[in-house]
Amino acid sequence: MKIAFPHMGNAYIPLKGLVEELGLEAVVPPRPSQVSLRRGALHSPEFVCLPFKVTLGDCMAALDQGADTLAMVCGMWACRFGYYGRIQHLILRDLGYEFESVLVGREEVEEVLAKLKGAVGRGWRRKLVRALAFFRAKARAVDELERMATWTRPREAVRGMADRVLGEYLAGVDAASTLGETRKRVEEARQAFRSIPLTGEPVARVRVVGELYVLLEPALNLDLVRRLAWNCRVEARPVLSTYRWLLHPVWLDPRLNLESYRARRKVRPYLPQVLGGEEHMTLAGALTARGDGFDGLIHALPLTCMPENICRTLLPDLCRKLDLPLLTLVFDEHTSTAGLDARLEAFTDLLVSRKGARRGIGNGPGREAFPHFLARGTQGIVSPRGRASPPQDF
Amino acid sequence: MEYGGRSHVVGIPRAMAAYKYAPFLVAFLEECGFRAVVSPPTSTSILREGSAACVEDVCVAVKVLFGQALRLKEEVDLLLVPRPVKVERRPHDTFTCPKLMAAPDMLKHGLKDIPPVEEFLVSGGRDPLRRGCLGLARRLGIPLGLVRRAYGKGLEAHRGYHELLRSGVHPTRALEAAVAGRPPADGLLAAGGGSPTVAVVGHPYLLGDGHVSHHLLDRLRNLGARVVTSCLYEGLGGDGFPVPVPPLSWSYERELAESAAIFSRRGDVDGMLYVTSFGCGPDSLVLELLRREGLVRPGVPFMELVLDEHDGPTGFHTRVEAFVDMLRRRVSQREDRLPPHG
Ligand code: SF4
Ligand code: SF4
Repeated sequence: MKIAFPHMGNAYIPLKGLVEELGLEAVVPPRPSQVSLRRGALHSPEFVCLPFKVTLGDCMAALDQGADTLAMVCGMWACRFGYYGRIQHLILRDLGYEFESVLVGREEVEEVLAKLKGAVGRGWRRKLVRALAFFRAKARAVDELERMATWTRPREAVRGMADRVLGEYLAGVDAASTLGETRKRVEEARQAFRSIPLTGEPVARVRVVGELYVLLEPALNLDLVRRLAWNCRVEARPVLSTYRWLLHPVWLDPRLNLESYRARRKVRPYLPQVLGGEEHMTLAGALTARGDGFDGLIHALPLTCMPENICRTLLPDLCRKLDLPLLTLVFDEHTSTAGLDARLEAFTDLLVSRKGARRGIGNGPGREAFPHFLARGTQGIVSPRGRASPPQDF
Repeated sequence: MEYGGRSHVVGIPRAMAAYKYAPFLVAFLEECGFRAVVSPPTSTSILREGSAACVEDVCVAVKVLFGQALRLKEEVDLLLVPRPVKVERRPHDTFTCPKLMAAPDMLKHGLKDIPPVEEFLVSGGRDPLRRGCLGLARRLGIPLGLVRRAYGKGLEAHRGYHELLRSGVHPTRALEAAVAGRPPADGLLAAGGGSPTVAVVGHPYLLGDGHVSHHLLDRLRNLGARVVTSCLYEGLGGDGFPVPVPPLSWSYERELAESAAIFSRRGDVDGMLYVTSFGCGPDSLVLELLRREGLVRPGVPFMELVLDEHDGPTGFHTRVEAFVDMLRRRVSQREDRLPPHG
């Protein structure tokens, strides 16, 4: 059984760990790119949202690489995501591919377990428990690495250092075959990140909210977070994380579920219904951004996304009341980097001038310019890990 | 808002779920002593104002909602927008399109200087409409004794509206008639026969909105076609549908999928048009399911018509005419092949 699943940020590392720990083979397609996106878009319905197109492209690449089983989460939600697997698999079969589908969520739990039992063989229960522990450890490790990189990137003296370290240790975590080894890689990474020379504080901090894939997949958001760090020296923090996406539905970390619940409660006056996307995190992220020490908000969404377009209708009014600068970025397969940089720079200028701080990196608005910056911390209803995390979290 | 009787005017924007619930709401509110008005049919200026007021990439239905709300804002004290969520009883959770579920919120925060927005929540329970009425009554301060009677009146109007739709009255005229409480001005859509028979599937707020749908239904009739629409199956909700449709969490889209499946098996339907809005979320996937799961039988020509307020009616009408011509040719070929006496 060669299992493949579409990409979502660095989710492939824990997922691959899970599958391999079960003694099965995982097929990881190449990272999403304009090529896979275009390929997926070619066979997708015209008005479907961007993540559908890119994940379809991933599935095609994985099948070309010899995968014989495609796994996807699936459900009956208000949003389209729950239908991705069902429809993509129909499309792929119509294209002539042959494979097994594992639609987690659509099929009864017993059915999935039966398939698993057949594939894993004896001792599957013990193996599953171990695999889940491994999965969680790797997910957490990836999350920690990502957060260290996000913090370091806008502060590093030489551009690209943080990403070099990140890439190296992500590969290390990916290759780790025991829990201890995974933990050790994270410790080493922490040291490596600490040794990166820094130049000063970022000129501003923004929170990035929006649709999950566009938030977390650099191929879809044209490397938004890195662009902000490198070109504008802005620290951009996505309100969602791969970790959250992976562990929230399986309740392996109840803090995430509590955080979600709180976010829903917080946005109830604005959006009382569950719309099936990440709308609660988007709005709660906006509502708490000031308190969490952010200077502005970036809202990133795919072109026809339903929940996020609803948020997009609500956010300007909300941000005006919160006195929070807002930048909306809409992505589709035709979005290009031209213009994006200009908009990001203009937004940065706005943030900096609103903060009343001097611009410029050399004589940088150092810590004195932001007296509350380190002291304040994120009181986090929607901080990525569901707990208060100080800006420097390692 | 205090309960103030007739001095208060409640406006219902003619958009989105109002095409489902306006007759009910008007009858209910009138019985409660309010004056209820439904905004006029969409016009060029309404749509233009609506498009200008909301974000650009949403479907045309939302733009109409915004335009209609702006049109009403001077003359009413309160805007009432239905919010359908779980409109049917099923073992699993059901929803409607997120944009319908968030319509009141979008209005509230998306438009400035409008009267207060009140919602009519249709969700859950044994009788979602009744629940909605109780909630509305509580917020508007309508005495409970009045609610029971008014609910009965509303239900009567609602049933009457459904009867009109199911008997094949043009959806625009059915809405007019049901709101005004008088018989429809025009006869049945399919009356007078005609050939070929074209089935039109789409949300009532698209089919019933003449301006947005470029008067598709009238156009088809003028071309000599016999027209049946998915409104024939309005609100029948799953029961009595002989065609298995894969489970869908969107109630209204399931209705459309079921109608399409039935039309393609009815035998008297020569071709089918599926009307959708530019950027419509649920339709993008439901259409895919219809095609790929064989719900629409391959023998029935099927065309998707995308409504986009930036496109003029000309190209749209050309496509419709070509489709009808094609159907006509197919029908005449079929008749040629038949032996002379059946
Ligand atoms: S949240 Fe947006 S992008 Fe994601 S499935 Fe729903 S509509 Fe598509
Ligand atoms: S179903 Fe489609 S047309 Fe209707 S509100 Fe939703 S997105 Fe718009």
